[in-house]
Amino acid sequence: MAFRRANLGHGVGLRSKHYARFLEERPDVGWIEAISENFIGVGGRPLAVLEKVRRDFPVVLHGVSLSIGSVDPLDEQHLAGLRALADRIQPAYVSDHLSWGTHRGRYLHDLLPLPYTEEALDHVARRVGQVQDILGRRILLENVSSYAAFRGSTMTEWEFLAQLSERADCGILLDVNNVHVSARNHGFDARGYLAGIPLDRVGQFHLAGHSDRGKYLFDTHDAPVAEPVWDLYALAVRRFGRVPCLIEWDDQVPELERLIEESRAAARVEARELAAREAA
Amino acid sequence: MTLAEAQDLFAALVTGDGPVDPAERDALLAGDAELSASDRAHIYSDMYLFRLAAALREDYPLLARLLGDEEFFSLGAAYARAHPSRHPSLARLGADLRSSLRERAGYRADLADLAALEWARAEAFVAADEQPLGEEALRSLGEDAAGARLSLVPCVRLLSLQNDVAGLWADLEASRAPQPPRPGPSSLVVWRKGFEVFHAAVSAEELSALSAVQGGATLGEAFEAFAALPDPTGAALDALASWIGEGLLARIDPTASGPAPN
Repeated sequence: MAFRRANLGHGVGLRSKHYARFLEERPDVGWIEAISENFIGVGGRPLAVLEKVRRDFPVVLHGVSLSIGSVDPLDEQHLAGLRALADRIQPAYVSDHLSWGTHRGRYLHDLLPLPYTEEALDHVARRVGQVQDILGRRILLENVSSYAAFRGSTMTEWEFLAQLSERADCGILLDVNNVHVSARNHGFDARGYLAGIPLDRVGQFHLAGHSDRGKYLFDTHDAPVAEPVWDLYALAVRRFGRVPCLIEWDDQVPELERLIEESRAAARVEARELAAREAA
Repeated sequence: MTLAEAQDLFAALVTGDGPVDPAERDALLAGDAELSASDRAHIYSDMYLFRLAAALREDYPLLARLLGDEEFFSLGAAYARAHPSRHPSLARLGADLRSSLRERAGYRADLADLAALEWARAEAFVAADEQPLGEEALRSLGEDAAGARLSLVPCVRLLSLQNDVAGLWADLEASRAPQPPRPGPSSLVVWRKGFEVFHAAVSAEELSALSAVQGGATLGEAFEAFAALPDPTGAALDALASWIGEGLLARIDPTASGPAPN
């Protein structure tokens, strides 16, 4: 089950504000990303919506609680629930974050950064293998926005992610907005980040809005994609080619039409850059 | 520093659970002219409580409306500190808010009961699906009905409260001025029909009978809850008709008839 990129096009996230629309009609989107934790072990309207959406579109299950980098044991009950959900929904991908969020049995419900060390790389690669064995499929791991970096890191985030994806044979969900946010917050070159990610490991892009808090950028997912992120996305398309791309908009969620328009804007950027790449 | 040590220290910075030596923090995290290590740690610790309080607000919208933003955040932050999350879903975070409110002085006496109702409704909304039992299936039991052991569909929640909060809930839901507390025992059933969640006041006897069914009693045993009423048979039949009509009952297992398992 080696990692393979899916061909999905441009999608949007499934948010409760739009449940009625997805139940009653088939909106003009390419695919849907659903937050795994919202659907594990539930029934009622959320599950009905997800099953209707799955009948209409390819679905990606995107998690926030895997805590792949934690030194806590993996949550086997959670993974069993995720496996059952994935078996039921048959998603195009199962993804989560390169981060940690559990500590001594407690869920911190955050995507905390890791020190990028050999010890952490060994630890995370081993756990990705365990998760992939339990799920019976390759997963994608997403780079997170971060506001702090560890003095003890011995490699960059992109070096860590590149080595991890090779060692664990997993995919990368490259969040272009997160690259931009972290680059600004830590003072590295976002283009260098993209250049350090292996071409054949990127299975999906995320685009989202962020807010500028003066001394740092904050990953809020509550606004349109910012211009510098569109520019970085253009570079990403040039480098990685046609990759499934999703607009994340989780707070102050707009009407579905606005979300779809943002997704179409991404499709236009992709078409332009693919044409330029072809011509070059 | 090992990965485990780094995570111990970072978690302490995020949660604020214990004092962290500034020298240790500065040795752990890089700072620069724009943001010191302390500034960077604070971004995470500020987000931590904000995110947890926001999640509680999703499950307790009417409690939040009654208390107002500032007071609800204060309550949510205190609760989150005292009740660390043990579940991967943030939607489970608020499970103990009712008991926490009971122990907390300075609030209206009926807030814990309002919280219990909101939590039950939130649970019912996402509870697992199960096909409710129809009238035909029940009728097919014939004379064996009294010995049948049924169950409740997974979305049913039974509440035995110290205040009548149905009116308070309705006022807040309609954005009306909330009525004052109405102390006194109150029994509520919460369930989902289709995608819609309902709640209704029932007698203490009916709540007791439903609780017995939920606990594995036969219908006959459950209906003993009505024994002290003037017309116990009529009350039992009315209750049964209501349960069937609202889709509260599930699964008939004829082979399970007989004494309740130990």
